[in-house]
Amino acid sequence: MITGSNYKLSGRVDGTNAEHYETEISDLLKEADQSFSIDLSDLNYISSIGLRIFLKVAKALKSDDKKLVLVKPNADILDLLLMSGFDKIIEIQH
Amino acid sequence: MSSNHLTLAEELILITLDDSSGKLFPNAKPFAIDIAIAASLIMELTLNGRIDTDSEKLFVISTIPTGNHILDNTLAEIDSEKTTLSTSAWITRIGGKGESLNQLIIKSLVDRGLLMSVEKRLLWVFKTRVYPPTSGIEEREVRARVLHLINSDEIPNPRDSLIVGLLQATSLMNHLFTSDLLETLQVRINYIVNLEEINRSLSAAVQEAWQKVIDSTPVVRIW
Repeated sequence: MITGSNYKLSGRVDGTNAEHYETEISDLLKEADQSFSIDLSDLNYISSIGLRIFLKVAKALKSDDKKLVLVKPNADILDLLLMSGFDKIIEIQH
Repeated sequence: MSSNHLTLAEELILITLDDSSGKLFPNAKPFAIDIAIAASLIMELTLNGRIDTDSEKLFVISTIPTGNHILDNTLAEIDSEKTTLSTSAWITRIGGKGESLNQLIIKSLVDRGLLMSVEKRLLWVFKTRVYPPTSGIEEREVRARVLHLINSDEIPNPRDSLIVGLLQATSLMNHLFTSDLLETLQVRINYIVNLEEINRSLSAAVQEAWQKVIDSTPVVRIW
């Protein structure tokens, strides 16, 4: 779901729909000023392929001196992000 | 999949073969290489959008052939399994094919002209086959890519993160880089490896296999 220069992921993100989300997000990155936020408050599940979207987006933004911010992940998703060390490269707002 | 594109399994074999002897690097744990080769096939299938994983399971999302028969056979095997298994269980199962799988990948590299197949004689009697690299360019390219990644603060792309996981799990990092360099960069290497769930499953599978080796080794007491 697109909300201005930010984005909201909801439900499940895995290999069956990750490409669609990645394309939508990539199209919005040019509009980002200093940062680009993805709202995760309604995201219930994310697989390995889904997580790679965050890394690719963060990498693309970093090359333009911008940053990715992940907003309000639920407890399970937050655990996953912390276990994978994503918090060391991506700002996570609880 | 482009036929010019090296798979992770091919990159791993190129690095694992000792250039001077043309044999698999003698100091790497053989079971670790078998397990890492299995993991590299699973990784390639995820990069090609055929399978996906999470911390509990591995699942098929597309059975469209990749055009690489080793990958397609692996995909067919995973797809035909009725039970859902974890990634580390699949790595262990496919890794059980051991030498036969390694030989298939070596053969594909020979067919592509990246390795030579040379017959040698041991003690003037026993025939053995070794596989020296044709030019070594591809191996040097992988080594340079990994060195650049672990020496920078770049966000790794998934493929590079996965190859670092494979090198770490097989202890091949110690073969490629000096111990001083590795000591300095270990935190960065661990961070890169940890980004990918398959790397964590690979590490668990190697650990489990190593534990089995320890458990099956007879205890010798010297009084």
